[in-house]
Amino acid sequence: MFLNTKAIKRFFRKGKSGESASGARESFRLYTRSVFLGGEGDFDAALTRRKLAFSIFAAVLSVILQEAIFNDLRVFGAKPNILLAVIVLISMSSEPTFAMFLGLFSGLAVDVSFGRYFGFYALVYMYVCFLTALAVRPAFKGKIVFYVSSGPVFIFAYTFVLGFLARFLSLYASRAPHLYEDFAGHLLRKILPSSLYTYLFFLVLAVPVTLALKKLGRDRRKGIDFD
Amino acid sequence: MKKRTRITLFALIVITILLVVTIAISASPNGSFNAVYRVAGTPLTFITNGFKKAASGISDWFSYVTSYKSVKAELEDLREKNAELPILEDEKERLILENNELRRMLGFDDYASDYTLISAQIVAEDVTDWFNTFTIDRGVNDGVKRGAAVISPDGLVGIVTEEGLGSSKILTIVDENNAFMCRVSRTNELVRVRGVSNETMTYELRIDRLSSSSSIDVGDRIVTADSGGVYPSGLMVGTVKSVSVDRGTGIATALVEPAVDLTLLSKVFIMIEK
Repeated sequence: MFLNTKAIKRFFRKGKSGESASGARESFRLYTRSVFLGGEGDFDAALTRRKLAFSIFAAVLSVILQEAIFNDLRVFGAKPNILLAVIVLISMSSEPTFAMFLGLFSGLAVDVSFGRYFGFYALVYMYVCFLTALAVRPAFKGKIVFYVSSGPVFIFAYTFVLGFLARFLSLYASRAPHLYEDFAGHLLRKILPSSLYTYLFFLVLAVPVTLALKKLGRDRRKGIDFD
Repeated sequence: MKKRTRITLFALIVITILLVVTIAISASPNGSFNAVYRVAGTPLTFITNGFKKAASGISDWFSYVTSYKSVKAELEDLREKNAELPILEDEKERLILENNELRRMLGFDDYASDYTLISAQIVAEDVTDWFNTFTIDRGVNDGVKRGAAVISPDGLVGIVTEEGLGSSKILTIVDENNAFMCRVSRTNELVRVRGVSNETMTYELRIDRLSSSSSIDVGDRIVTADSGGVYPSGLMVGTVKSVSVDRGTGIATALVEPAVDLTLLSKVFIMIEK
């Protein structure tokens, strides 16, 4: 589903009539390039029913796996935010309207499951997804290299903003005197480890999620035919 | 501006306003979305619980396979210790008597007649660690009530804030919004304890506004008081780990290490008043 197995077989097979081994290698190189860098107009960010189903499935599965397994797998005391990684990835490949609703309903699911203030995660994730979809221009949608290189910035920024809003809300609710008592410690011991751990999952999921969305969207690849 | 863009922006603004109002209601002392939680939270928690049990089963199987040698060594060790049992029996009798005496002093005997303990498993906790809440697999159907105290064998854990049909949300004592009255067990001094910010991943409690005559010291045990009515009295809260005095104001503040390690907690008990 995610890999062009014919192109891969062709790469390793020699002596196929009408095609040299170097031709097969060139085809495979171009195919790999198109997976990571994309081609002109070969990714459609428009929503399809299959994309919608996949996005909902991915978001729900990430919440469930997070709670069942990854909450207990702490590294330097930090937990990954797999849902954030998944919705940022999907938003990068989607239109702003769909991304906004994806973030809204993902956040609502989190609020209902274990949220402290109902609506908090819905609001935050709605803006996370909407702004991500807006920030990634159409020319860069579907390009995994761009996603991987810009991912740390997005993940770190969103983790920091999430923490800031949570602290602000707690401050308002408890009327505590300080927003941050140890800002450097807050960054080093909470934001940075959490961001790095989340980015690790972002890296692992970047290729399969993007390829899945490419496959499930309308295919408008031009010029290169591997079938 | 395109029509679709205008509609998107309009929807964004409307939803933002609705969510801000919802958050404000939720953050208010009496705000609650229990009805929503009961309808939507129960199936989600049920699914999460199922996955968590499956994951625990798989990890337990791997633990069995990888720890065979250590289990065998432990068996040999236990056989040797078994031979010492008759000597330990006398010591056990002495400890039972001492434990009963201490429990009476702390008022624990009263709990058996006044409260029912319902055991519960933690099935979900806040992903981001910003809010000190978690979800358990017991709800209204099991007799859980909003405001019930939650404890573990080591001490006080928190309070039930939302109860669904088959699950409930717990706010832990280290949350900044949690403030309650306690006593210093050594001096019987009444103090107010509240949760401390976890901006740096430290879970602790603070006793502020100590009186100038306070003799609180490092190592003092803090237990819940019967003043205020939030928690039953006599529950272990924590141990004082530092006392500091502000040079300018002269106000003393103490930091308390919670008796319960919240990062390792998996099972709790809910105290339901009979």
